[in-house]
Amino acid sequence: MPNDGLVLVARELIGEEVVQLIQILSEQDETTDDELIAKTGLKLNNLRKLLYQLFEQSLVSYRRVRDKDAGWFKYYWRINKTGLIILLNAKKKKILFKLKERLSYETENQFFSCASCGTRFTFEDAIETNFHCPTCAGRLDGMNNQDTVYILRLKIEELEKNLAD
Amino acid sequence: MPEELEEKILVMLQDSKEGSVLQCELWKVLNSGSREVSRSLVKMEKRNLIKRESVQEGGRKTYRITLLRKAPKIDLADVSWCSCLTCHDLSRCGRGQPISPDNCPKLSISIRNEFLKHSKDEEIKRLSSARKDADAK
Repeated sequence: MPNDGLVLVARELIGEEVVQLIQILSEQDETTDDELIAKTGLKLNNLRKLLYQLFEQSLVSYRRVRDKDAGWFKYYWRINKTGLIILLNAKKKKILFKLKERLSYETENQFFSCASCGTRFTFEDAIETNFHCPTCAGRLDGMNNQDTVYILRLKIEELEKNLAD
Repeated sequence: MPEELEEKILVMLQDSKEGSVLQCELWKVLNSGSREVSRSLVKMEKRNLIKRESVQEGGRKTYRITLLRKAPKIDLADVSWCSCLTCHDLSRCGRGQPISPDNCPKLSISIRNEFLKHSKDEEIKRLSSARKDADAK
């Protein structure tokens, strides 16, 4: 699907009910309310509600034209790619910050894990319980977190590069 | 329809690697008349959508058409692996908070899964290059 990112974001922000709407809007440059009703089977008030929700999140935009005969406004809806990109970049920056926080935590601490249940503890927590798991009383062994550090560094680097481009 | 043709031209330029194509290639690929394509391009240049530069190609004069504003691509590949992308607690997550990236179980699972995927990809690459080396010998 060409708008996977848009569908994912719209689903998370509004709900499953907008997925079909996004898919229809992605297929054409502009779509009217009438076309959307015909294709989704939604009632006009429900359709408008969803479209305004998408508009509030800057995921769609519209232009309106007055119908000369009826005097009503006719709305033409379209996907707002620019709004989506701004939204996604803001989210990516937030994720980058979280990943950096996690990386600091991983590199600043020494870890131990329970040989029985696998729960992870920092050195400070492990020393408090005399290197025994407080839940199952299993022995706490030193743990290598190099895999985590490696993947975090890799992903942070990739994300920083993409955000800079 | 000239609008349809303009849209096709824009899509083609958008998909091209450098955002530019030669005019003589454009009308052949679009299966349109050279005159229609040329007229559309002049109109598009006036609207600042594209830039036309005169070039010589195979001893004949043509134009290099360059898209002036390439629409940015929506790419989630760099974050789609991470649970934070769809996490409803992202705005209240932070170090020292009840929900923290330090010990978030969802993030830990994402990191683990990504490491396993990465290791698998690396292994496939290694095997494939070993096979190529063996074939070469």
